[in-house]
Amino acid sequence: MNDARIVNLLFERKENALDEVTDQYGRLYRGILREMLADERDVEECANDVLLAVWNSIPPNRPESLAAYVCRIARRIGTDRLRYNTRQKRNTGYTLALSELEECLPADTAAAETEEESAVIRAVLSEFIRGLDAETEILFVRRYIYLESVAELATRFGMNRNSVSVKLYRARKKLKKILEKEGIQI
Amino acid sequence: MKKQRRETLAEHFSEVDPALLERAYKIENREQLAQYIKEKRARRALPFGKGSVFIRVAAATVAVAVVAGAALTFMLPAKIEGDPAGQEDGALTRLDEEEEKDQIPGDVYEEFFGESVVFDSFDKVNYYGGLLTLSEHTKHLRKGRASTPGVALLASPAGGGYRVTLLGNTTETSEEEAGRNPGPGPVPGDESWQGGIGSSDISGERLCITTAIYFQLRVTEEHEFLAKKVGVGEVHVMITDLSIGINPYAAITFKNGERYFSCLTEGRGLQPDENRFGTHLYIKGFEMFKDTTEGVSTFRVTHDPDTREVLAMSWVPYNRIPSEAPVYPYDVIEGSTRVSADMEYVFSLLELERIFGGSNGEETDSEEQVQRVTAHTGTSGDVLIPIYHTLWREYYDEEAGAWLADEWGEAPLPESDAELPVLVLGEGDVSVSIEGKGELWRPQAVVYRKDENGRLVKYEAFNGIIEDLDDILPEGEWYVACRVEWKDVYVYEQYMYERHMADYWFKLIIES
Repeated sequence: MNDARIVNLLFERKENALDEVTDQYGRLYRGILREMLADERDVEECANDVLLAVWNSIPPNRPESLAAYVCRIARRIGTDRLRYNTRQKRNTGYTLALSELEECLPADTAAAETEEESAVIRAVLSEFIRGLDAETEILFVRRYIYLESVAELATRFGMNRNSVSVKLYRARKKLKKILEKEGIQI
Repeated sequence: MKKQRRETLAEHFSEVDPALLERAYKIENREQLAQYIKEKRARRALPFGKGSVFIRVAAATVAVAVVAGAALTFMLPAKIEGDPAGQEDGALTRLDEEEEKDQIPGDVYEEFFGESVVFDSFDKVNYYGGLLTLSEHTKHLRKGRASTPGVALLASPAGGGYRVTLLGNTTETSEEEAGRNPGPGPVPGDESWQGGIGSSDISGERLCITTAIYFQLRVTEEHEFLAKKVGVGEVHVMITDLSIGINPYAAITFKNGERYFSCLTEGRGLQPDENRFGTHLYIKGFEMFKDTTEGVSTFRVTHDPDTREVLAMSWVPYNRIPSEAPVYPYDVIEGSTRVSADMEYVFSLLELERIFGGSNGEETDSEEQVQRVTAHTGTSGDVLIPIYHTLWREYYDEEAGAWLADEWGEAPLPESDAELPVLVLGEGDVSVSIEGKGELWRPQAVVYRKDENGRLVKYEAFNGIIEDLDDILPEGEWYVACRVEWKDVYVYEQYMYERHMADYWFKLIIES
């Protein structure tokens, strides 16, 4: 079933819409949650929260890409849970991905963002990803948005793990330069 | 504060254009990725003509060469991407000088390949160095002048023409006859193994190619050895006369997608009886012995001295009786040969990285250089890299009744050698795995921390399985040296095997 039909089912408040979401994107949001949360019980609970959030937010929202929409919800719920948990596991995939992203941050320039500034940052990030070569683009999105591990990416795309790491490293360096050049403060 | 900032950045990422997320989600495997690479590359192609700039330059070159009545039958490797259309487009020969000036190699190759090649092995250095040389040769022909910046014309080693001579059947026994090599694989005491550049790291070396020959051949299951190394199908071949520093070699690299295999031999390979590429000489210069368990194989290349076309190539697995050695011919793809001869092209690894490495022709910055260097000294990521590698070859001496060993040297290694053990850091454990037939034993780790002066001070040493480092070590930054030893199955009959040792180095951050 395609995204538009699933969204229509949600608009019609048909409960089997959630079964379709689970069938199509269950692996995606569970994968993200597993990378963020060390405890499988947390994952289960948050997975239910994701479905609930989808149910509650569509309608009124009508996302064009359910994959992106579900990913965003899963990341938000996962982040909330991570913050809630007092003990953070050093080696969860999410914290590892975050520590890699730290390299992209310009020198200490933390500042509160307005909504407009956030929109600019997202536009710059979108443009940056679009500007990457095809292979790095897919690796980057899957690593830092879908939170797949380097090993998973290497297996999925038949690449050497080190090649994946180096490509991501270069992309992060490039991003840092772009953020600095654009004067973006995070 | 930094944690909060990186979380903010991560949150922004999840809000990027949903179309990007959707696309990445749908590209699930290698085939789909390859298709997307092609599509994106096509979208990025420059505006005139169907082909890429690289192909257009090739077409122009062919036209110039034909008009000039040059004796060379020469083309650029446009066929590499299987798109000969550009060569037939006559309009493409009308590049004016301004356009020509724009076609600096970095742009050309970036546009053509767009692959962000990671130069992590000798294979890629030789293959892409050869491509670069072919390109420079083409530019030289186009300009019709004696030299171009960075390129000097020299007489070939043969004093005029380039030639590849069909080898006689006796060549693979020459070392044996000389009493240096009693059988497949090198043996301790074989001097030819101990010379060369040994433990050099080529990242700072001057690389020079005087001849590059490119062609394609079909590898089938029948070609067991090469089929195992790079897989079956249409395989790209690059043969070069290559100098690393002051040491001359001849090298052959096979490329099939992301799979590479190379052999390196001493001396100028294009002289008679020297252009054989035995697997027993694999990457000799780097003291890296990949997999010699198959014994010695030889590749023979037959070449038409008039047309410069590679006519045939064959694989000859080792046989003690040369006249009985089986010969497995390859099907060389007609018209695929491109040759660059009678010139010298000097380059460096950094230049290759700049041109092919996805930095889009930008000046290589210091961070890139630092990254390369640190690649040899470890990483704090989840994939760990050996910093050097020691190899012993041991053999059983019947008279002495003991195993005798020779140390063959230490060397920094290209960082992504699939046959080396892989160390993965996860959940506080360091796990080690090795592909193929190697057998691991005796992993060890020494943990250091830095003192006030930034010096590493030993904290604790571990033997055996390395696990739960995050429970054992207090909070803070730690530096871990991990040593792994492994051995391959015997190399030569049952009397010899290889023992290897590699050190890995990584930083470990323990948080509360």
